[in-house]
Amino acid sequence: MSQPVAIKGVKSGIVLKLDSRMDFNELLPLIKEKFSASASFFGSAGMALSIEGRPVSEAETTRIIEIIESNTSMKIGAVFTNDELLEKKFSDALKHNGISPKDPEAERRLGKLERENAALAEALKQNAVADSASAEIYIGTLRSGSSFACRGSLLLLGDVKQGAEVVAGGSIFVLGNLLGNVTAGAMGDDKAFVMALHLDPLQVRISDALAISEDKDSTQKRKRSIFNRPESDKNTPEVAVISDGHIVIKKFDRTFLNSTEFLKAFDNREDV
Amino acid sequence: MSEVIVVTSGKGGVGKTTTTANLGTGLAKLDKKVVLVDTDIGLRNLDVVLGLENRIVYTIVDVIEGACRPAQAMIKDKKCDGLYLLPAAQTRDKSAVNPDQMRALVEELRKDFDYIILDCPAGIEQGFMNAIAGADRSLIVTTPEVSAVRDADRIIGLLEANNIRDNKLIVNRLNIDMMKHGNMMSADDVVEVLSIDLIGVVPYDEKIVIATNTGTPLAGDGTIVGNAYMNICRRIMGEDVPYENLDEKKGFFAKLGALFSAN
Repeated sequence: MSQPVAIKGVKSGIVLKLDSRMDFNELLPLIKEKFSASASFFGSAGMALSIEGRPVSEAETTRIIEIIESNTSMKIGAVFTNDELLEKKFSDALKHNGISPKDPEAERRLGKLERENAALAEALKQNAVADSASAEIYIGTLRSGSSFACRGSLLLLGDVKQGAEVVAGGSIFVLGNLLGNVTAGAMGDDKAFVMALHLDPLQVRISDALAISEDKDSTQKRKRSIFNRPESDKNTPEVAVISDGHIVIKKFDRTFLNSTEFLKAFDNREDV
Repeated sequence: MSEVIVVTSGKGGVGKTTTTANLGTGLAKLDKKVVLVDTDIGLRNLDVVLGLENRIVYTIVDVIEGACRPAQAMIKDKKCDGLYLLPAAQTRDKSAVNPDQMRALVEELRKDFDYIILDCPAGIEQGFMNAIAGADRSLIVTTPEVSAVRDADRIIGLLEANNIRDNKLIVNRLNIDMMKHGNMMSADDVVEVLSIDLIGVVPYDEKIVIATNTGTPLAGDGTIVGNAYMNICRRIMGEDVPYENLDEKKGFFAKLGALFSAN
């Protein structure tokens, strides 16, 4: 950080960023200076304070509040220190995803994914934590050899070709042809599903379940397909879901949309 | 005693992958335990030619990075007992692997297999260097075309520079009619240019295109092409197999075969 002390105003609070390498006592006069300079800007509102950049003890927090309140006419109503705030954000987000905080299962899965596919695990970690009801949108076709991963659900406007790979923590919706490999519920969400306008993937994984397309039949020149079903069904939107531990394909129609399994996939209140 | 054989060509599209699939099938039919290793990371094809693309869970990159054991990544062939595929990764590139890692992997595979056949990518860059790293011997695939033959010559030079001395030639996709009319190089023309020993001639046949598209290798199924591959397999195993007569009427290849068996 360029300055040892930086103040950022947000809607109903102040974020105070402190240099972690400087001695705390050296920071105090700088904090005083900063706040006196912008006292008029802050006015006399009640504010929440977040202290970031370094861990602070309770005594140190109290001293910072004293300095702020004596040098401005602000009233500090609530204080978050860096660690608390992040911890809360993390656990909230995890709860939203249906994973309890510090879930050893989720950590094991991430570890497994990391061993299997480092790039995808990295993408999952880096993407903002989102719950399964919020989706990222990807526009474009994923061709053979390309891959895309996201933490929440994914809405993909385009095709997923054979040899391309899509991984999502939540469900996957492909508005196009899905012919490649997909993994939904990558962090262990059994209720995640995969929907596509034309669903004919080489492999589908949902949580720990795996389904592969049937082998080509060289005697009949029939197009390959993941499950035996009449030709007429193949051009209707379909969805792959886990049913009794196995992945099955269903029509993506009113019956499915009204089914409890669809509603449950996005209902986070039930799991927490 | 296991052998590591790299199938290479320099030029793309001459039939390395098809040859690899057929030789693997043929050797497995001769009761050998064979693993085919696709080293074309990022542009894998061997899985499709064998009709196994839907079964890939782990790849060679996972094995090399230690994400899984070799046995977990290997896919057993649908039709042939004793034939396994170690597929390439599609979402990575050649730089995911280096020659030392390939050498180590191949040594590991030697314990369990009679033949380890490496399907080499086209070109002479890192993918090629990876593929030849652990090889004892090579099979150079070429078509009777000047461009393919020139690239094969370059490849032979590189193999010799990397201390792979046992290099044998497969002339693929020989068009008997065109050759008879003098419009195409014959197998012995190619041998003369490259000055290495021939191990087999595979005639052009539309059946091979169909077989590739349906993922069913022809080796050992009684067709002319299937027999040609089986004969190559026997020669790989050290048998002295006379060259097949590709042109029954004129007996041209009988002459050719006599010439080579004399060598």
